[in-house]
Amino acid sequence: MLLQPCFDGELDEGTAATVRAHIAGCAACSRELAALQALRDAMKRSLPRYTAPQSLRDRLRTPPSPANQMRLSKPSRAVPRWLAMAASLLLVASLSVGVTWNWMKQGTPAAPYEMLMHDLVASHLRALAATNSVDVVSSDRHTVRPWFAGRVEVAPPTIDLSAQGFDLLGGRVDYVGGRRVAVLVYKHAQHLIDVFVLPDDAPGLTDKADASGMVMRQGLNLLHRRVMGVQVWAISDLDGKELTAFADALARAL
Amino acid sequence: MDPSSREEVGAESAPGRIERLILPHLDAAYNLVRWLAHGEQDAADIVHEAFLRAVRYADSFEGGNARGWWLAIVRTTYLSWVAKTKGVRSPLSLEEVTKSGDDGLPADSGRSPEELAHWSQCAGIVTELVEALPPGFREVVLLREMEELSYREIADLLQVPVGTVMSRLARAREMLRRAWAARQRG
Repeated sequence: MLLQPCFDGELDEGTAATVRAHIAGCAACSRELAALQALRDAMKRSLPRYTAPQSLRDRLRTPPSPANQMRLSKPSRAVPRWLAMAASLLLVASLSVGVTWNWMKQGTPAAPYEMLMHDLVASHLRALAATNSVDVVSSDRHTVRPWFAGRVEVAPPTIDLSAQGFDLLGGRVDYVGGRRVAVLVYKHAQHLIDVFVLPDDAPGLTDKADASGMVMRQGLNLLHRRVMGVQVWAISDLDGKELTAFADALARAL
Repeated sequence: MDPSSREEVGAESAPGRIERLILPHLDAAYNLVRWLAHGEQDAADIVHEAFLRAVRYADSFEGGNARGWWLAIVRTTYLSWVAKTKGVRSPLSLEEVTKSGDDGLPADSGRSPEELAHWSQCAGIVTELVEALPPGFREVVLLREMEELSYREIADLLQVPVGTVMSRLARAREMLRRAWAARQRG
């Protein structure tokens, strides 16, 4: 149904005109549109729009210390993966011929590396928001690894880093690059770290020359290590130094 | 798209440049987090942390949509805060949110123009209803209606497919209308 996309200004003018013409002659759609508009008007009028308090603005004026400045490798420009998703949406929706969505007017599809970054970030964000970021809980290091048998191509080595302050909470399986991969979840000082264990031939891994550089996406740090034929990506909101320390500890222990 | 949000990478120092690009969108960030986290102090703390993070990682911003880049960091910081303060288990699960069923009320078909006009006058109720939405639905409505982000911008910010944005938005609107209908029957 194109009513809401039309209402939200997401259709190109030709399609929008067709939809508006339909609405004009359809009582049910006219009522629906009127209801949507009433809801929008009510929200516009009554939803409070909060502004940042002066105390917060004052706090931000304190300049950050030089120690906080980080040099990070520059990621390539991101073309979101939704473009691929949108193509399948086009087939599913009952659209007339010639519909063009404003948001589909984009160039090339996403490079494998950007799709990989997207998958890692999306998985981590989902886990942050979910009730459970793990499917198997680590009571000791021996419960997690066997759980992955038969569920993923590359079983993760489970490393005990509790001496360094990184507690293994457990693991889960997630989809990255269209394949099921093992994710180990560590916790350090209230920060969650997801460690993705990818096969050597996962798409997007060979694209970047700097294999151990730090990448930042959406306010998260991602760090790549290649250890014993296994590609490991660690992603966390930990700062760069601490995440590097974690990745080094992991690499040493393997 | 706000033209002042699109910037070329210049010779200005990265942190100074980032602050100049972010500060016009500080209220938007605070508003979003206030609606999601509810508490004034929590919202301020989250925005503060997001700001420090953005300044710290200023080098990774290569021009383009500064507001989108900044709001994504804000939202990620909010999610990290949720995970931290609620531990591994969080009561506000977006997964649960997207599975939550209907409240069993009949759809409101056949509303007259008079009814709709009356509804839009009871605008104060809408605020309560939006606050009562599960966070996953609330944030999509706010990003669309208050920030006026496009489906694509919302998808980028939430790191979900556009189709997910559309269905969540449609469901959120349906939930608001049903809740309002229930209030009317009252």
